[in-house]
Amino acid sequence: MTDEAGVLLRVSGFGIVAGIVYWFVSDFEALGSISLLLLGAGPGFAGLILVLEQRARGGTSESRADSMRRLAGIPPNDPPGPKDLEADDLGVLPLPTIWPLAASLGVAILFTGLIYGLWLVILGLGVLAYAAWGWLAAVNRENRYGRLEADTEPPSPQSGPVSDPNPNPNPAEQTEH
Amino acid sequence: MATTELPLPALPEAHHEEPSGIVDFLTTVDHKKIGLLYIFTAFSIFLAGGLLALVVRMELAEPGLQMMGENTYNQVFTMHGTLMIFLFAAQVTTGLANYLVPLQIGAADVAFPRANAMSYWLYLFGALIVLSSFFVSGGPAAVAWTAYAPLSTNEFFQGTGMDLWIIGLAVVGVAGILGAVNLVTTIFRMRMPGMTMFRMPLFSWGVLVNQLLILFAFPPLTVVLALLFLERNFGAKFFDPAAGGTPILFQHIFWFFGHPEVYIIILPIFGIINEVIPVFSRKPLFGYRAMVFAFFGIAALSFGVWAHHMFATGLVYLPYFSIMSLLIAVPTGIKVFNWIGTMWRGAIMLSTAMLMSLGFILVFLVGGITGVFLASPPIDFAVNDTYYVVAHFHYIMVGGLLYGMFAGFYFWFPKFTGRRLSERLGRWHFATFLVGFNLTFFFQFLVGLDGMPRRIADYQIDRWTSANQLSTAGAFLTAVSVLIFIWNFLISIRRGEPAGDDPWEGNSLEWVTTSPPPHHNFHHLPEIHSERPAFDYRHSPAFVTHTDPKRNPDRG
Repeated sequence: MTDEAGVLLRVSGFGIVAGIVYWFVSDFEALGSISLLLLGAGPGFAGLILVLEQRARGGTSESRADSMRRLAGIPPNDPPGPKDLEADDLGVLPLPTIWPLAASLGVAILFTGLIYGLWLVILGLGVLAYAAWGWLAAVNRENRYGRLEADTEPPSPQSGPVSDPNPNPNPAEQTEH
Repeated sequence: MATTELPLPALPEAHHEEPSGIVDFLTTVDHKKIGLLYIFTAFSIFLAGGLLALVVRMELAEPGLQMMGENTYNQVFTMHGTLMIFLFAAQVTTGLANYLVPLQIGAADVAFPRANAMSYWLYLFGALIVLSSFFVSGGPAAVAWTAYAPLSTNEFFQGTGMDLWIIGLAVVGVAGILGAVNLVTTIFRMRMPGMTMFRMPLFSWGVLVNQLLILFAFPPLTVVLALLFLERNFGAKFFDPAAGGTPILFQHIFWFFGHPEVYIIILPIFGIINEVIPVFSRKPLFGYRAMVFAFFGIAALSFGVWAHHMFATGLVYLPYFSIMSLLIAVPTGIKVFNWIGTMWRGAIMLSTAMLMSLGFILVFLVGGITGVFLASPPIDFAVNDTYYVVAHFHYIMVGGLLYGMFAGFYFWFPKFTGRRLSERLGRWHFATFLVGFNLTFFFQFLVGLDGMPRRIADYQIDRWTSANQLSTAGAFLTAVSVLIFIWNFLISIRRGEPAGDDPWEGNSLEWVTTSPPPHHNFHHLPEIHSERPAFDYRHSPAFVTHTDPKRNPDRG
């Protein structure tokens, strides 16, 4: 089980136990018991999704050796060396867009319309629908064409930390080490 | 130790026109800019809420009604609480989280950058809806930040201001849930290779637990606001006993959100203190795992204590909520113990960030210990709804939050801007804040124990006057301290001393990249072998071969 699933399932366990205990000690008070049981259900659902997803990916649960190390407070083995982050889609950023602002404006108008009248609700829905359409179109466009804008030649990796004032040090100096 | 670096792929943003100026901020999906937008918006709201606090303190400086009537006073303290709790405290830490979490876990951005932008804009529009209530007929809400029904129903409080309050906070609640989904997914799914959960910086842990709390606490808030809105506008009778409703329902649901809200606000602040103290003690954090488990202990228990706010109703089971409330002292005590353990025999550097962290521990201890007494029903019955509760609450929420927030600002300002805040002005800021804050709130414990009720515009008991005058003087001194900070910010952002990328020799990944970081955060990432990757990186062979002669004189 991953650490992520572990923390969610522990919170879930707390919610369920606290809900059951509260149910009895509070003389069957319904609202608090249901709230606590829902607290158990929410993280439990998310934790189970993570466990199932891990199994679907072919992942295995923590080995006995690893769990013994963890319980003994010994740090886990170092993971394998670096891999290409592009494979995980971690280095691709979306382009600036106005649609999140427009969609939020639509939601704000819609909600305010609940006070001032139906016409404002309809206006808010219209703005929200237009923003949602624009948002999806922009995402679609980016997914189709966005990466074509990128240079096919990735920049060569620099050596040294980015803070290095001389990112390409003299090779002679490098050989000293 | 291996120090292989991780080259990052080509990034699209380098190949198109970046918008600039205001358009840049209106269209940005960059987590750093969104984080700054959150911080600036929340800080502006903090200034507005602070002005309202000064108005309250001026009114209470003398017995009698000097400046306003009772309804206006109710509106002022209601909006003070609303702005500070809903629109500032929970949001400024979201801003810091937005900026810092992707950097600390080695990600190029958050998991859902566009939804992240939407979350900010929803927060802004929600805040504007709440603030717009100042300009409608009848003025803003006047039912305290808790808005207990039936006081907040149409029967007792008419006016559009209350409805705008409800709708605005509902929009802010949606923003919070959206932001929480984004940050939790980011932490679960976007950590760089090697950044296991138990190597994650404790600020990011604090944010993770805080966002999980938001995920499970904000829906009840949204529900109770919806119920109240339906009751006010569509004839529902959820809180009307004559029609089969129950007034206590509102309090139950509200506090199921309201108590976790305290920890929603304070857990990221714990995270900031966890980052600052080890760096300025020149030691690793004492008890990393205990700190993580304490986060979860506090968060879990916070959902089991809601009814300690309702002891005086006589309608809740006292022992259960008393025991659960007392138990929170255990994980909180672990944290304080570990902070002291971290400083023990460390080479402590009393920078402003460290001073603010020490100030945090001091006021948080006072606030926490006075809260332990409130967990005992007999004491709670005696001091319920007095200024004792106000003082306790402000020691936690104002002292704890602001000291931690300022510690974070002084600590990460160089990362945000590439410049340092002035340490000299920082010390003035700290000193005036320390005196001003304690002057404001300490004497409120005393008048509270003497029975002075909270939320009153006037008092006719002369022996409370001097304490109230000291509180008012302290509030103005606190305002001066905030002005010093603003002045420090304004001059440092233009003429501050250049900070370099890692001015404090920090521990977490954000100190490995430039100040300010590039759009995609990192050009290179070191391998992760511990919870202090930047420390490992500095002391690795790669650091020794650093070519900056100032940092490596042997090579100069």
